[in-house]
Amino acid sequence: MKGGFRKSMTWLHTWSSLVVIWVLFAIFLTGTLSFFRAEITHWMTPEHHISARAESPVLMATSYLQSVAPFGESWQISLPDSRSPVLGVNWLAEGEERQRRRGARAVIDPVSGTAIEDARETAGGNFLYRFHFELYGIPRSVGRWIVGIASMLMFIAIISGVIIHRKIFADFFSFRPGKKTASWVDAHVLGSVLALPFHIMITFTGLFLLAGTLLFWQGGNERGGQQGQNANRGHASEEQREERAQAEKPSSQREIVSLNMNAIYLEAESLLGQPISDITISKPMTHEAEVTFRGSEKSSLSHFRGGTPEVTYNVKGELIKENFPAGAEGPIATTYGVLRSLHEGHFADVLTRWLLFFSGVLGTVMVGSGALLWSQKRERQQVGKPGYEVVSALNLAGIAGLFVALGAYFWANRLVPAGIDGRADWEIIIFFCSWLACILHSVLLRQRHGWLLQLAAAGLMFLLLPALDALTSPVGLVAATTAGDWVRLSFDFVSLLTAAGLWAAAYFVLSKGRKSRARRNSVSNKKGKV
Amino acid sequence: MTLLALLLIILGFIHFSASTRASFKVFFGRGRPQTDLRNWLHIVGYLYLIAALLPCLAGWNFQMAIVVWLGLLHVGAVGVTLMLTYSPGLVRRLWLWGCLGRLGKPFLPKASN
Repeated sequence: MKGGFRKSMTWLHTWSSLVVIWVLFAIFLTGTLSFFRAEITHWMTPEHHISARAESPVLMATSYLQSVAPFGESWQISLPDSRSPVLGVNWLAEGEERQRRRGARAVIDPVSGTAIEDARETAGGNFLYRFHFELYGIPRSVGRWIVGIASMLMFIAIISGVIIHRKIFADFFSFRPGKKTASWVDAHVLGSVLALPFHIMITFTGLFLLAGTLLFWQGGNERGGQQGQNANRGHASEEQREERAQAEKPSSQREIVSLNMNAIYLEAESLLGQPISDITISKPMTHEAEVTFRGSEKSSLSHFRGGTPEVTYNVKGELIKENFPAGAEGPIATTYGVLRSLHEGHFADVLTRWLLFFSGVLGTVMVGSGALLWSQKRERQQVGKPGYEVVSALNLAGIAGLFVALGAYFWANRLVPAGIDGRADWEIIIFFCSWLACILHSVLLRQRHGWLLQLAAAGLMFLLLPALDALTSPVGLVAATTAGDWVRLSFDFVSLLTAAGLWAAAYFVLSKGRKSRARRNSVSNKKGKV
Repeated sequence: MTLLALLLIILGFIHFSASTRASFKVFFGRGRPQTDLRNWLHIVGYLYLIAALLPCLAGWNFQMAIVVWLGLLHVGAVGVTLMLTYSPGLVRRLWLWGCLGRLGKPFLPKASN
């Protein structure tokens, strides 16, 4: 580390990021996809695609619930929204105790008004989400440690990267393609400097969320105080349940008390001033029924969960409760809420979600181009040396190989038979087997068009994903367009964009190979003439 | 609102790019950016970026507006960079028709090259 401050910072930037760069690339890519976790799960459950056409969802859901859970303890209706266009219902049947989960659940088929049976079990967006912060197949705490350490090194790399960039303002808008190392530097700078606020925010908040794991002296609570809070909440709900059980002695009322749901719904929507996300009906079909309508938009960034306004009506249609939360209570809860919301995008509407996704893509470009820049800079001097070859193999498997694995994951979702046991696990097994195959290919055969083959394979899979979607979903793409299932269509569109990017990269590799071959030939011809 | 904010951001960043040595020729044909001109372009650029906050505030509450504005800044900066590389003609047209900063150039004492 001799040679002044900037040089030592360059050393720090290079090596702090290189040791974890492939983990970082996977974290960034899966994290970027996790902004659309619910949307990916919707795409990966094709049986639910028919639910996108519900026209009068509230009436349909209540009549279904009347048939499966009359006089139940509670009903919950999740209305179609911009993230998941399905109509879902949950219920607790009469006399049933609330368990840990929300009780029985079904997704309604809007044509028949009955539940959609035999929907495939899928790992969906949840696998990518969990992989993003705790990896897979290792103890959760170990996974979080690895991700936490990688995030810390990432933070060091960001700060040292800002320091070593000599012309951060002069070269702010520079991108010079076709100039070998300079182009890679530009791509790296484009991905990092232009989205620097996002990178700092996402890395810092990510570290903050893992603080519970990384700060081992805070009482062994690995989820940053979450378990403590949950335990309290669980305790409170236990008490509430007992109180409720005391208050709610079995009623002798068995006459069906009907509600004018449509009228209350419209009134609630105008009162909330935003679309309604879900409806909870406690003690439905009785005189004690209470209907709570919850809005879909958060009132403040400080709520990472909850924070949406809600209004409650009684059976006569009178407003009995309204709650318009202004923000989280207390500075600690507010700080926690804001940082967590920013990282996980809990507050985000469609536009903000896409903006976060875009910045995530820039982060992925930054990490990927950084890894390739290391090899590019050392190609002439170090080719053939073990260290260089290890990095080259890991670059190929970590970048192109991950795209192949992701493509295989989405293909597996549609090709693994819907009814088999442990189906979600099979999707994950196929993801890792594909990645393993890419690693082996990178180690053994990367010299023989390694990049070209893996990029082309991934590009082909992503290119054909919309076709696969059209063929294996009960609703065709034209019908999805007329039904307005934009969640699914956006997935297909992004997969086409990804394919275009992968094919562009494959073309770049191909033309680069041709140029270097032509250069070698001309050099050998000159030598022959001499 | 989103498109208006994005347009203002792009115009703002075009002022910043006009003040850099690498892109100066795209806008002024020849020469290098002088200090006064650079400062002037930066001031107008900042004003455009601040102006882009207004449509964000009109469309969202304060907290969300800041987040949307920051997100659009990222999109705008990448957009200007890619346009300068692949479509400098489009940037020049935006400069001629939408960038008020260029009107100040003749009045600056050291601006003539």
